[in-house]
Amino acid sequence: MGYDILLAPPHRVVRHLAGMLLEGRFWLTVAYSFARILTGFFCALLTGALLAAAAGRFRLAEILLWPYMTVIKSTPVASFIILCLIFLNAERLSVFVSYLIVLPIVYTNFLQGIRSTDKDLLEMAEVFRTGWGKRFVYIYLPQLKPYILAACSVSIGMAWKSGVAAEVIGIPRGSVGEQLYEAKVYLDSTGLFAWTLVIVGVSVAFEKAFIGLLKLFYRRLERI
Amino acid sequence: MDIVITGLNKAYGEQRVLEDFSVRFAFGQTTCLMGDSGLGKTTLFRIMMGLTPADSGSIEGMEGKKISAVFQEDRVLESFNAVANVRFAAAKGIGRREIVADLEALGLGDSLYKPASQLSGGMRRRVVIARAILSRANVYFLDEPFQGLDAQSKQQTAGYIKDRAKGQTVLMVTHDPEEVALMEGHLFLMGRR
Repeated sequence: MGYDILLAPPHRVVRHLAGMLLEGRFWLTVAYSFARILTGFFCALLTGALLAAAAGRFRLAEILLWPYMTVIKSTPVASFIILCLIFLNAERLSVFVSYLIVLPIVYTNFLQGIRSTDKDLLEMAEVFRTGWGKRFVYIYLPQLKPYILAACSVSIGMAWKSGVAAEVIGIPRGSVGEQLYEAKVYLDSTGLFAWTLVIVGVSVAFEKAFIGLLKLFYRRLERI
Repeated sequence: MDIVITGLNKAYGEQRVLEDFSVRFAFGQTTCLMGDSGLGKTTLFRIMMGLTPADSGSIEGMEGKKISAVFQEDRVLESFNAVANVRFAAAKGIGRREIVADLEALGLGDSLYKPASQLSGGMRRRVVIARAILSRANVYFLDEPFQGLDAQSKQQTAGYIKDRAKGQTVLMVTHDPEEVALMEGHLFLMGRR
């Protein structure tokens, strides 16, 4: 018996991966997980931003949100997944789990950004009676830039990790997680490494693309 | 309607900054406030602008007035260019063409689209002056607006303010009698009681 089961040689993994890339089913599988994990990510981005805005504006909102965010942050991903499996079907599991993992990261970073907004500029806007929209575009968005970039950079990887972990446990049909699960069941370490490379690749590619788009957005914003 | 301040008091802890301060600022005129540092000129402006509450006293004649300010610190939007900085506070109906014309009148024609972070101290000062003026207010609070400007720029900027804020109330803090002369304003000397 060889050791290929335990540790597949790189050339075999690459060959396996190349073969996968040519299959239509591979792209459907990636698209399935991509769509769900990103749905969770974007929903968390939106909710986290809105909750941070509320907490930044009203101290009471921050106090009320604190226990929820603390619980979400410190609960193990596996506990969430198993809990969610009771209430949700396997298809929606990765959406919700990646949402829960990303939400506190976005909320904490955005709130910190809002808190560190230059008070002198806000006072200046108050004197000129500048509308909320202009304040958001000219004061908050630029000041939030490092916090938004940091939150997105960290949370995209986390969304993929947690989303795929949820799929491995929930095993929705046609997902990347199902492929990883099958690789485990059939002791297919070549497939396991190939799919892991796919997850890392897609996660990194999306992170680079999204951060690139955010930077482009900021370059455009600064030229208005 | 004149701005009438009566019996204004303000203290920060043990330090009394304004003590039973009363004054009348004539509407539609330029008044230059001079006095040593720490006499409460900036505090007076902050109270009049509604940014700091007074401990006691009253201010009449500010109701319904649109205010504008050049702060002691520039308070520019660092990552935005000069035009965007002015547009941030510009009154409704003021377009890019008008903003550009005013910035050019202040000698900033070559720096219109440079980020504020790359402008010199004097240039930033002129940007915030244009920002204050183009917000089209009834009362302008100018806290040492000419700091960092050379003699020629001061003259040019003073001319710009006088021209654009004509007929409105301009209150200016300065330490330089020459600036009072440049603005052709009434001098109000602030002192301790």
